[in-house]
Amino acid sequence: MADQSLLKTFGDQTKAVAASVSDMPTRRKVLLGGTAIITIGAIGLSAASGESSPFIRAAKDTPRADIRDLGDGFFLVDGWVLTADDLERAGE
Amino acid sequence: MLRDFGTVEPGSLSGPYDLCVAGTGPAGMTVALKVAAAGGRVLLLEGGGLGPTPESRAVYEGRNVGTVPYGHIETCRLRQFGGTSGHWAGRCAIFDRVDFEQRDIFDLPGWPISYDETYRHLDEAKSILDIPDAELTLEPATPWAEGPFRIGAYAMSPPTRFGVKYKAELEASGNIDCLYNANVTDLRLDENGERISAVVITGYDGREEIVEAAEFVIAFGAMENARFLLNANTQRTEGLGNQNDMVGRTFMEHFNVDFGKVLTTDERFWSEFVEEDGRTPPLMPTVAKMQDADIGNGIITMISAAQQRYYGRLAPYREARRAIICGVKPLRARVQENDSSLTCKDEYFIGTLTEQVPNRESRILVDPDDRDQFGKPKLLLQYEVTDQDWKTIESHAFELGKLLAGKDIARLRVREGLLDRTIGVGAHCHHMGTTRMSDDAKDGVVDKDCRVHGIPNLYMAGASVFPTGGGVNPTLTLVSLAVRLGEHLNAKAGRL
Ligand SMILES: Cc1cc2nc3c(=O)[nH]c(=O)nc-3n(C[C@H](O)[C@H](O)[C@H](O)COP(=O)(O)OP(=O)(O)OC[C@H]3O[C@@H](n4cnc5c(N)ncnc54)[C@H](O)[C@@H]3O)c2cc1C
Repeated sequence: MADQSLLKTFGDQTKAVAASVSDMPTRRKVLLGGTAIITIGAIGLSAASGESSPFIRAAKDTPRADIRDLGDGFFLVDGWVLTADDLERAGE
Repeated sequence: MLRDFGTVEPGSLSGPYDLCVAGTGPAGMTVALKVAAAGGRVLLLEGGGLGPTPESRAVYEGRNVGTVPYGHIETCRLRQFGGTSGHWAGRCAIFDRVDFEQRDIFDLPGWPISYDETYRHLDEAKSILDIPDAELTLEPATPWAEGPFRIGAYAMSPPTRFGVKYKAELEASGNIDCLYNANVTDLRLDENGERISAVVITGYDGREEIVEAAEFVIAFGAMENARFLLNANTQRTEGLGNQNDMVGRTFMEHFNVDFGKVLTTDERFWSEFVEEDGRTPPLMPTVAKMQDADIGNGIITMISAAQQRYYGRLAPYREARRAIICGVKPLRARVQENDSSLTCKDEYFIGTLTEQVPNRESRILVDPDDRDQFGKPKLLLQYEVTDQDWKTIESHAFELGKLLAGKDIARLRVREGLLDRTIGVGAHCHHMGTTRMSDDAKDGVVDKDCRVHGIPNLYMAGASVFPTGGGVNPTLTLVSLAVRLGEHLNAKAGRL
């Protein structure tokens, strides 16, 4: 999937290569994102941060024994890198 | 002068030249122009045509016999006038000082030359690559650093296509005799077996010419530099420069690992990280982090799923499906649980450019059972990734996850394949390290002047001489070294 978005950065000449290889030619212009991106992103925020967020649900559903301590107060829960606060919110 | 080798009168190439350069990519072209500018008479040889041709492409065929997949032996390289600069992307950056050091994470020496020496010709290299003066100075300032990460400095070349930029100059040049469709198939040692005396050029019709020169530079890219030296075994059975079995070893790439997805949870994510094009700027581990955690260098970029486009006939259907599923929270959660490829617009992909440590077992070999049209064994790649490399990849991923969760602006979900190491390591077409530079001949193939150990007039140019691959794109560095090599050859011949 990522490959498809990367195609764009190479242009037509190198589509075949770019389908599986990237050289990440980003342009540093401004640090602030365009309004379009902010708007699009904001739509997803409520889904992402609330109780129904996939990582809080993952923390709820994952047995304690399967949670890996990553150090520095972070945990690996079903692939998600979470904070102790996240686990608390999930009722762990 | 720029000519097709097929049109050159047999026996009319009047050596000896001061210098023979083989390969017209960024490395070879840079050395040739530098020497010619100082008055040296140069024979510049290109195996491909002015554009792509099937017979030239076929010479680059090869296969991977390593344990790690690598699908880019042919697609990553252009065998034509101007070399792979014909489709490079132009991203340029400077290695870190730490990249030059001998580090605990690999068991070979670091660079025998310093950071300052490597970039002594940075300004000239930047002008060759059309990078504005003000961009990318030595010790570039870090625009941002926090915890284990900093934002790396880089600049973009337009990108410079060497075959386009320098064609007219070569056509007009009185000092450079540039021949295309001129395949370099061998080098001849003199009667004492010590110095290279002549180059063997073969055309696609099989015609051979043997031409003398005082000095020789091979600049075929890291894969082909090694294959060429291994196949140049008519007078030395082990190949040229291979007395210590180091030719082809420590082949390095930069990994591009799509190790997970980032789900944004707070608008501060955009204001802190996102550039105009929907990507985040390059996050690199700080030197302190690399040293403390014993990990390699590299770049992580997060790429907005909002930038993702579907292609093909089913594109409108897939776009509509995504919009519907992503818009309905419970549906989205259920679908994404089973289909990790479905991305919604508040998510970010990961792209990395990750250092691969030098490892003797990751190497270029040749295949005596499969030969190219000149009768030379084709390329075999034995691509290997070490535990150390996985440690670097994993550490970069977890540190990113911690940074985002710690700031409470996003959460990273790593792919299962990262943990069991079944995830693809990807590639960047940055081939490096197969004729590495070393003080001691047992640790490499060339000395600090890029001269093949034991052969006083044979030099290698390009990223094959890199002892380590660092955590940024290689071309600016290899062009700096090519300028340095040109200067060395000029000084050696008293041309300065
Ligand atoms: C899609 C893509 C994107 C890239 N993007 C970037 C980027 O953004 N930044 C970056 O730093 N790097 C990038 N690179 C890498 C960059 O292209 C290389 O680092 C650079 O081209 C290497 O230069 P070179 O002169 O060593 O080798 P090449 O450019 O490969 O040139 C080798 C030359 O040798 C010739 N040759 C080979 N064999 C023979 C023979 N037997 N006889 C005569 N001639 C021969 C070839 O035809 C060719 O002209 C990218 C590469 C690809 C494929």
